[in-house]
Amino acid sequence: MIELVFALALASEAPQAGFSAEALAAQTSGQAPHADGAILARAEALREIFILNPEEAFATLDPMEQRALSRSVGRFDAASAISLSWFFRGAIAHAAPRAEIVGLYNPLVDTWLVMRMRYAAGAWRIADATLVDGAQLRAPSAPYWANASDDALGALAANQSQTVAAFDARFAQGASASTPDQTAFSTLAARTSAWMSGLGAWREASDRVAAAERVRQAIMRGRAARMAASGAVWRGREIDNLPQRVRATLAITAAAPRADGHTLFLISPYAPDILIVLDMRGTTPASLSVVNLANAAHGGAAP
Amino acid sequence: MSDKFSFAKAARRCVRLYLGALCVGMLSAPALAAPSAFRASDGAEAPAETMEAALAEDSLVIILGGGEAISLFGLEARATAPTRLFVTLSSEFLTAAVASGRIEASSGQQARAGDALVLQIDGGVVSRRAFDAERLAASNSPGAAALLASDLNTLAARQRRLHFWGYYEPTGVNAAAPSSPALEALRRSYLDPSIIVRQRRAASEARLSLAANDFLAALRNGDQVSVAAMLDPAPFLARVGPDGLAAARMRAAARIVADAGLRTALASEPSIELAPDNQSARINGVAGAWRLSLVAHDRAVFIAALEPEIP
Repeated sequence: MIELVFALALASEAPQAGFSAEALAAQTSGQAPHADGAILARAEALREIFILNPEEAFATLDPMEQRALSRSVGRFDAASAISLSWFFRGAIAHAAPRAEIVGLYNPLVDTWLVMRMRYAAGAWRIADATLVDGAQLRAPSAPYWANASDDALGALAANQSQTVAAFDARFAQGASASTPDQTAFSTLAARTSAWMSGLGAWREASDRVAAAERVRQAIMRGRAARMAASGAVWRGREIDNLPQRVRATLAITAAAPRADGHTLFLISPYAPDILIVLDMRGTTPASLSVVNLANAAHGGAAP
Repeated sequence: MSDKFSFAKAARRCVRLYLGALCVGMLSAPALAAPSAFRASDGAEAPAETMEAALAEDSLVIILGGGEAISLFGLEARATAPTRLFVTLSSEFLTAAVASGRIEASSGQQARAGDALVLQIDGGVVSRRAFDAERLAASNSPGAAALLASDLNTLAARQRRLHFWGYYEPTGVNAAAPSSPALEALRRSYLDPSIIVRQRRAASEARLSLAANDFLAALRNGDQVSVAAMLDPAPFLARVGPDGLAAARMRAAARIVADAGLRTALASEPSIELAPDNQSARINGVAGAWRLSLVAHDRAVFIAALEPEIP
């Protein structure tokens, strides 16, 4: 009886340490074997934190990773936060098969952030990083899609599928990392600037912003099909069928002027491979389409 | 006389047929008590009571007799004729595609061969869509192909005719994988366990308290599977990737569940106070307060840590 009380007292007085998933993962997962999925998971997690706040996220990385990213992407400070967040928001993570290479590819600017990963201190970390222009990677085939004279969306889908294939071919099975692309940084900066300037210029007229916002709200509520204009390409029904959290997080991410209006690109950070393309004729929605880049890259047809 | 119609004879015959049918119905009733489910990968039977857990790992072929019903993650439907379904769970949708027969959802939508009832995990809305039988047949796993080939081939031939006449238009969205295949595999590895799917069907403002309550209940009950499913996947994914995630989290959960001190301290349904930052909860246990750290990934809430609060 006394022993039992003593035992109970010991149990209740023993220090209670609880647990953390981080520590448990380190203790129970062992040394990581090579795993494409783990590398992809790390790249996707990086993308997620860089969308929210690039400057703060950068500060959480270890010095090796900070050096690698600074060399390729430049400064992660308040001045560059918006353009960096914009890049990562629309970037698609892709791991090279059986290699320690992962890329974040933003199809709008046709640029890869290619990262060589190394397993260190219990996690996959960025050992080296470089920017690569998609056109350089898949050379000598299709140039930057935005320069295509007609069927820009077809060119965009073609850029995506060809550049992913070229990425896999170059980096699969431990092939050496890319030759640094000296012009990629300036190319990326120029393209990003062009898209963001286009967005800024489009935002200057509040009536057309309000008109596009009405379409975005309808998409978010799953009611895009009801806005169909007769005779126009209007993929509202298909867009209404997209996952709710993709629709709910769509933002007008890029704008390009046309002779009779603007083409707007709506992107969700959850599914950057699904592009919603809205053509506005002044304040009138003229057409609405969707390009599923993931499908385009895997043999499926892009609308 | 014998050729003349007799009401009496006809009535007696009807009674015999009715009683015979009733007997056959009674004899065969036990076999029709529950739908049969088979794993798409190898055709192995999945017991009805573990269908949700099986769906987190594999697609299912479900065979329903007329009148039989299914209830999966809130998608409730009843077959109005003998029906074969291909059911798959992605990170966003639960899709029940009708290969043959007809079903009716409790929310009223009816689906026949070539249609699919689609439940959006976020929000729980059910809608009806058409699916491409030819693409499903071409991409199906061996177990499902063996069970559904005949139905899907018949359906594909009909859909080709309808497509020719302009009734169908192909779309670029794949309900089984709304994102790229690699990212979809990554997300499914932590979003598909049934306890997480149920959480995502709840309103977003309720998910934090639901996660805290579910985790403490699982801990009290020694439910290692649920504890594992609720652990923050990020540090495990960074080490082992989606393929090794389930096993690594199960090993970690085994340690947590085996911690008698932790279970004792949180045994008596302690009160839970959510912190204003929506990233933690205070657990008022019998032997002191604990801090439960919560982390959201893809709008689902996971447990990052459980530590005694420093007085």
